[in-house]
Amino acid sequence: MMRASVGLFVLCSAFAFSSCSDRPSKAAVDATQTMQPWLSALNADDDTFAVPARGQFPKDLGLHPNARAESFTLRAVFSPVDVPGTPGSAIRTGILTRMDRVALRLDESAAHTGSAWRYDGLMRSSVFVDSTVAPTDNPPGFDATTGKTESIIEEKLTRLSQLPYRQTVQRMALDLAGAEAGSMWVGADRLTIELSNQDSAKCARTYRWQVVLSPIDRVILELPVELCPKARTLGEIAGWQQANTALRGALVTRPGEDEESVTPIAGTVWLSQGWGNLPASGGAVVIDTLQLRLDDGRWLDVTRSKRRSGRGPRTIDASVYADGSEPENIELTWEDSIKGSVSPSGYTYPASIKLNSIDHGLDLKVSIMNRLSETSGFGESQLQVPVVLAGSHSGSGFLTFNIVQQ
Amino acid sequence: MKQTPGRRYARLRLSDKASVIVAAMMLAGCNASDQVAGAGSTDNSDVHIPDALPIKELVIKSVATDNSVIATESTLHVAKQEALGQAKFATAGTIAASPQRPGNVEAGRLALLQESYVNCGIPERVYRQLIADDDVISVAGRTPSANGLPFSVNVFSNSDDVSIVSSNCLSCHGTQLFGELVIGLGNEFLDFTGDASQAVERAGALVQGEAETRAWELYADRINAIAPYSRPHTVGANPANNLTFVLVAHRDPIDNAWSDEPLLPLPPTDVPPVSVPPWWRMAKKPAMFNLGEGRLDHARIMMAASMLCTDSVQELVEVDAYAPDLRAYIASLTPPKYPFPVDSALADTGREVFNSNCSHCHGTYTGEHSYPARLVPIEVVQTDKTLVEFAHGPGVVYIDWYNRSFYGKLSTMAPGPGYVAPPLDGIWATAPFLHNGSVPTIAMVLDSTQRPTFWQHEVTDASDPESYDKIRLGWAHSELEEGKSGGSDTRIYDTTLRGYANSGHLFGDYLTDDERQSVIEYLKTL
Repeated sequence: MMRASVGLFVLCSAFAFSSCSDRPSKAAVDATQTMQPWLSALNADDDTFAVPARGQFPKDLGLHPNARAESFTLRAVFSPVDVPGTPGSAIRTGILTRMDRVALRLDESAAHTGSAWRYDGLMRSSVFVDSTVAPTDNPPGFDATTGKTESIIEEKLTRLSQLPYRQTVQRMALDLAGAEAGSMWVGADRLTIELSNQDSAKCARTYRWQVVLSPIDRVILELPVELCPKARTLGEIAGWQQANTALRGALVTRPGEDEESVTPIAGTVWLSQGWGNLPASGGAVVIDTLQLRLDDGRWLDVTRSKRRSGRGPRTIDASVYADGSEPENIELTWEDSIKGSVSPSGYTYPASIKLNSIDHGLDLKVSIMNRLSETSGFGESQLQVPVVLAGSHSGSGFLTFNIVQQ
Repeated sequence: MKQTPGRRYARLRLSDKASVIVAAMMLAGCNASDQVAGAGSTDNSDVHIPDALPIKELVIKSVATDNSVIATESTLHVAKQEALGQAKFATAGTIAASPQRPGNVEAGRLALLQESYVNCGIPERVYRQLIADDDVISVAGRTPSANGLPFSVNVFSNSDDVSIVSSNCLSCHGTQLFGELVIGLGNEFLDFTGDASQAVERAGALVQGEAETRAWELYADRINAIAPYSRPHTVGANPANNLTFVLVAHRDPIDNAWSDEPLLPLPPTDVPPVSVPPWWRMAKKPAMFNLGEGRLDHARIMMAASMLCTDSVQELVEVDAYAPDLRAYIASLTPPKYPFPVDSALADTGREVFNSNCSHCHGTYTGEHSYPARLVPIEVVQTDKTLVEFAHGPGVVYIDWYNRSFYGKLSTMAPGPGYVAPPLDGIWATAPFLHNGSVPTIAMVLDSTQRPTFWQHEVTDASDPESYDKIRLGWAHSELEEGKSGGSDTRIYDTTLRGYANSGHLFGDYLTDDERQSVIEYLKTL
């Protein structure tokens, strides 16, 4: 009898493509142009839109130009290693970036290269960045709902605050994304992402995921991470997820300018990639996920299934592990708080979640950080947001919360 | 001077029985007062136990000085309690055969592999995404639509024209033995320890559209109903008994309709384990199940395997149309032959020892086989008593349900006060042993001093001939210092747990080492 792993179903969620509305593109995009350096976007004038840049992805990890759909997702929670006057761990930032492409038409021309799909037949692309800045201990003056802080806190967030709260770039048109052997790109006028392989040694690769928010903020987020993912297949989709990887990096503002500043950061990153045939619509069940880093160094991964119908049980699957050790499945309860926050779509999300595992000494309050980022499309609506922990352990992580009937 | 096997057996029967019983009870972690089972048993404190059940006179009938009880005929009688007037019970003794409805063997084989007797499941489109290629081996007699699916499932179209994959009987009653599928060999490596609802619920993430969702949700709801009551402690332990009780508890006995709210008390979530008996023994067995409770028409009893989603009498009638064929096919099966060398001379000696010491209960296997079908009182066999206690205690309500239902029109459920000594055809392939799979090898069945309190299989399936212990007859295993209390490892068989005791069947202890070795050699030939 089949026993589907949680990991595989997490992959499913990689195909929950976002389609939030955004201002229309004014850029004339040439999707067939040759590769451009990702920094080209930074050269754009503030009053114009950047030329879309191509992200360079490691071929061996599966740039899959023949797959109809493909998605890279990076979620990270990090803190500045050193902010004068403030312990670095006291401020956390979360960021979500996603790079999706979906093809509509096969390339039936004899001259097609690299992909079975026509680059000009791409229905939709999106690059989604959502960042939040929040003190971890919610000091006086910090409003967890709005994310705003009073002056004394704001002063200590000066550099971090240059990371915008939210940038979303999405397209529902042709010609804006593509993939071919060695590269994948998304037409994105104010943001580029690059994931590149810095080290070809097996299982010790270092990847650099650079997020460039341009031209307004001109922030570069460099996140060298170690990856050794193993792709798994689930029917017509496949993918990998590298969860809970420690990151080191830097937040660079105004790179190349006199005002350039570099803030070293450290934190946790979750990377995933999925590819294959896109499901026609969302399934009968959705999977909420919590991926957490505890202050004692352990990782806690929790998933919860929910039927869209609102019926049936909500099954919990949880595992805890330390670096280098095998995950241990544990019994754990997940309880949403009654009090919530209203999303842009009008859905009330829980403001916090209680996790409890008596046998493993876990009694956690998981609080959603200050911004709600809701994505929707293809029948999916999700909240993806960084969270902070209180209770038996402090820490941080990421929540993916699906909207279903209540 | 060496005693003859027959004399040694006589000594057991006449003089040592009481001490054997006491020793067995101590092994099982019980005291003498535990022999009184049934209403008020603290083992089942989370279960509502009906009052005034006719338990004591059924279970605790002393046979310690009355050996004739297993030679007299096993008779049935009904419960004395008026509200449970259809609850029947059997006495110990020899079980008489009942006429069976005729069936077509080949039609039964095809029905087994093609029909939708389990008429709910996972949409095929989803299922095919979840299986691995190595789950699939070919089986003759499949429909083309089943190509690429494991032998343990059938495929059919439901009323919404959704192609559904459902479990078939081979989920539990088929095993790949040394690379070959043996239909009828119980799978002793299935893992029921996990929460089945987890996998089924999460499969819903791949379900698309209203029709698929309806089909999947029906199946998922039923799995959710049974899941908490179907999780034994150990991989390989089968929860079939408990699973059936849960399904019965949710159904009206008259119209077979499903009720989301249970209509009867639910069984304990502490699942007593069962080792799956091989099908090929059905040709000899006049009664089904460990307690000899399945009497009269076996085809009707076997239909209970369809209980998950058959929600009307009409649906049962449809299955009943080919159930006699299924029974005929099952009764036609023969055991696999022992594939390794056998010492014929030693086996001949073993046959003599066996016939002198074991055949009284287990029958003879030369010439025209004999099988006495003896229902042996728990006080005599002294194996784990959990199933007996439950059947005569809180389980009475399920017996009553069965006998009032469609199933009870042609068959009867009547548990006995002990266990049926089974025929031993193909026993070499059926490790682990005793009704609860608590003893890993035949050698240990014959020498109780060798039985490990804590052990675990070293293999996860029956595929590797090198992992089969040709000396002791069983799968490679390791003996452990600690049981479940030392961790939650589901591979560990902990005989101190309720229902998992490896006590009883001490008859082999009275054989010499040489005699035991010869019997083991003989058992290879059955």
